[in-house]
Amino acid sequence: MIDSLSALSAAFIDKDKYRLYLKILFDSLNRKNSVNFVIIESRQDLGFHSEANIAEFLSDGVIVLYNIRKDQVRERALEILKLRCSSHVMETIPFKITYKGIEIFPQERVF
Amino acid sequence: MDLKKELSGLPESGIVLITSPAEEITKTNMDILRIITGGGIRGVYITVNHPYKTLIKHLERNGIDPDNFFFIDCITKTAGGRAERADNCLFIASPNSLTELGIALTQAIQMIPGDEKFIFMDTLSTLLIYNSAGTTAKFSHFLITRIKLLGLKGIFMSVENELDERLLSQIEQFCDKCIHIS
Repeated sequence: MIDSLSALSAAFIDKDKYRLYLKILFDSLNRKNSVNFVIIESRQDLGFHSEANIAEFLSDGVIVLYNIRKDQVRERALEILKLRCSSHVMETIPFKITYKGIEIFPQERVF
Repeated sequence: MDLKKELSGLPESGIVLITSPAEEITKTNMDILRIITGGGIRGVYITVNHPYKTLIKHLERNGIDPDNFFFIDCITKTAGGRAERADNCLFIASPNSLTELGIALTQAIQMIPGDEKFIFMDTLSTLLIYNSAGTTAKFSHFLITRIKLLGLKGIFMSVENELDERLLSQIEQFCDKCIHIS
């Protein structure tokens, strides 16, 4: 688990060097026999996800978490943007963080 | 109008939209609930108008057993009331938390034993205070389709003239029956 790439990126002034660093990092993670989670700060915008979209390009899967404001309340939702070699739901799905952990509701819709 | 006769003709998974004048809506609600629960069916009561505590007292005053329902209360938290833990009620943050309402409905349906159940929504028109007409129509369509897929009965209450013509006609086309009480 790398938490977070956004914090690491602060060490790079040169964007090209950061991109190269990401490429080396992802190649290195790919050589491990493990499932790796990399967290990147995202804008709360359904059309735009990360500043360094090379990370999205290099990853096998991208899950975007949203905290959507609706007047006085907020609702949590997630979207699977990409899941290489797998079919996945294309809708934005609500989820809750409860005492049981993260509960995902694939049959529900975000309004 | 003979409400009992009107409601008895419904198919098992029928959806009814009932509009009533504002001054009659509470009485109409109680009449309908008495008819439905009189048939021995239990159901989910989605309340946007009355807080859970008030509603329980109101049902009891009208001779309707609150044990026939699992409640989804969309208004207590919005009004700043204490959402005290109850075994037969889920409290929603606000009537505009429609996503949360959808999730709560799925959970509430599972809490009621048996196959024959109903969903009672009081009232659709109040959702319009908190949500746009488009969102209300989309949510209503989602809710009605979900109720039909589950093979349940759905009764949607609305105050007469509070749904605009376009929204009313959209919702009417999703319903199996529309009853306008005047």
